[in-house]
Amino acid sequence: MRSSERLALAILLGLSVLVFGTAGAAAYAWHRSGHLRLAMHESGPGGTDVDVSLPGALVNAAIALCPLSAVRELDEHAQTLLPVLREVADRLVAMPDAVLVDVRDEDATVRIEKRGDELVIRVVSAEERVEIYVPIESVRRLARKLDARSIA
Amino acid sequence: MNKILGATILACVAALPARGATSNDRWVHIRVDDSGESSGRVDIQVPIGMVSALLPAMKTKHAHRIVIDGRHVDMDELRGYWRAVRAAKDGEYVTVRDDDADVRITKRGGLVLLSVDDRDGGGKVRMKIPVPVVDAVLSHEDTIDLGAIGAALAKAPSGEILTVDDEDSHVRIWIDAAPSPAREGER
Repeated sequence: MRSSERLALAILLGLSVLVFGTAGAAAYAWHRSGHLRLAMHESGPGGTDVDVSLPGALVNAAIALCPLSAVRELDEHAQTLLPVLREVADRLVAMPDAVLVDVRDEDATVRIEKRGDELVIRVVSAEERVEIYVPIESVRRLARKLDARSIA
Repeated sequence: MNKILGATILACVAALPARGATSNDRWVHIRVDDSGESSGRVDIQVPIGMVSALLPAMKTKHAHRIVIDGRHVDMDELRGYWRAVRAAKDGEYVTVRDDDADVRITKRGGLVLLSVDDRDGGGKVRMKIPVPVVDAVLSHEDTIDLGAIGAALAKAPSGEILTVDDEDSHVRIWIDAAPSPAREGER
């Protein structure tokens, strides 16, 4: 094999590694960031069915890019809550999976659960069923951004 | 290269206890079961660390007078009683026996124990409050130092803190090393 062919092969291999490596890393980050999902189902005739799912990577990007100048105008009480929200989000990441709140009566059930990297909120009644899946990392990023802006 | 690898391994090992301390946080469990016609229930469980983080955010004004069994009790007076009980040795400090209930308040092994038994057999209350928690509740004149309550709770021993049994409901609050699995009967 001539030296020019070896060089071409090396460049090709390098490019392949770069492309596949980047694609793999992006796919991993995409998968790891989870999905923000809202599913609502109303029972009975004419009931509404809504299922919206946003990739967590997009949500995280939106949090990073969205200007939050309005945070400066939050009242004093909200300002004191931001560090708490941040600490709670940090602790949610570290805690094991668990059902945090489970309330049920004759009419409805409300459950808030930490499951893997998501916070799952589920409300079930005879008339409707609502499920919200929130990536905890997105909550954490939002809390950090709000807190940092409020300090600045 | 070896130095970098060594430093990375050391950093990982050093980081382990910090993460473990958070994930090994003890949990506060609150369970309320309605035994009446409604048959509702409430299960709440959160790591004590999270409770400690949440409590300081709540602003609470101290009532200067509280009502116990229809009688007004001054908080300063209550604080004075508590100082006396706190300084004294372990023992039974309050015993009330009347037509309605038996009430006993005891201080033992760093805990304040309250027991109320209804005469008609309808209700039963058992409360075990660590002394530092009572200290935190009664320490400030105008506000309740919720941060101090959270810190005191974090040092409280595992086990039951409160159980209330009456005709309508069963309430249980306890501290445990791990979260409990969700109860059956999911809709």
